[in-house]
Amino acid sequence: MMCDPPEHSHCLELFDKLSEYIDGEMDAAERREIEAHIAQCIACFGCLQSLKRTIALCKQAGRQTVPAVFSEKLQTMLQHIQSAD
Amino acid sequence: MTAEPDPNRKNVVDDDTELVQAINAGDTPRFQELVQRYEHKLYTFGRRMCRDEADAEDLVQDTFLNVYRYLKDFRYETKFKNWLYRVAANTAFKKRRRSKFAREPELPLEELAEREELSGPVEVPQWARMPLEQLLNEELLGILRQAIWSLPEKYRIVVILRDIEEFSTEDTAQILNLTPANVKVRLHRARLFLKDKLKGYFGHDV
Repeated sequence: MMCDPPEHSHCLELFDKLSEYIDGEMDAAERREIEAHIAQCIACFGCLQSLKRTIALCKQAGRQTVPAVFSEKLQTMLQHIQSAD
Repeated sequence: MTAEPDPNRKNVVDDDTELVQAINAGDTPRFQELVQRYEHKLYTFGRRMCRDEADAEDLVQDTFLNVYRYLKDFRYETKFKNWLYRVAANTAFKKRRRSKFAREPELPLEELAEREELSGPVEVPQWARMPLEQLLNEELLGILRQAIWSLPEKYRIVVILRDIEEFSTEDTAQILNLTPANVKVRLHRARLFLKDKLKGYFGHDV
């Protein structure tokens, strides 16, 4: 199922607001408008779902351990600048 | 002549206030505590901002040096963490300006929308339906990290602060000296760009 041609401009208009919807940064009326649209438009629903998944993956991609060597390097730098004061 | 204190000014008190005040009052050995508190977060920020590991380490090191140098100028008008990331962001921007590759391309929404094929016969892609734990693997995370690095810096920094460091829109706007509306626009475009890269990785029909 997809939007009929007359509604496509509506898809584009809502496409612009999907992140605000996901982040809960919309007022109630705008939320209802998006929810009513995605209930009928599989294209926009698919876009919304894959955008949500992208955000979840970004959080995972952020994981990073500080190498012990670098941590030691920071401590050495710190001792150096403090002794120079 | 000294400036009159602003009677409407409110100090922000957060988990870092006591430590920062102690350091600024002369207990400088406690700066080490501040480094230990934030080295992990700033290292993550550095590694996502910089493709090159040595550049990321320089960024973290220079950020802590700048924080040490300018901590006395911190006025307790914002959360300390926001001020710290502002220093980190400014350090990153200065590094880029020194680079001969200092270009800032745009991500036009029209192009991102065109790639979306909203009018086409589509279904929810499989990669957006599968449980996250089944989808996760190092190759995929590597692809996504590459995609983040390939974002123009002004978009990259917003997606890192919002979706990786999990700052609010308002805090991100304060850190980057942007309006919240501007943060939202950049974040949406960055996410669409990354989504498009993931779609390319998984293939159009999965």
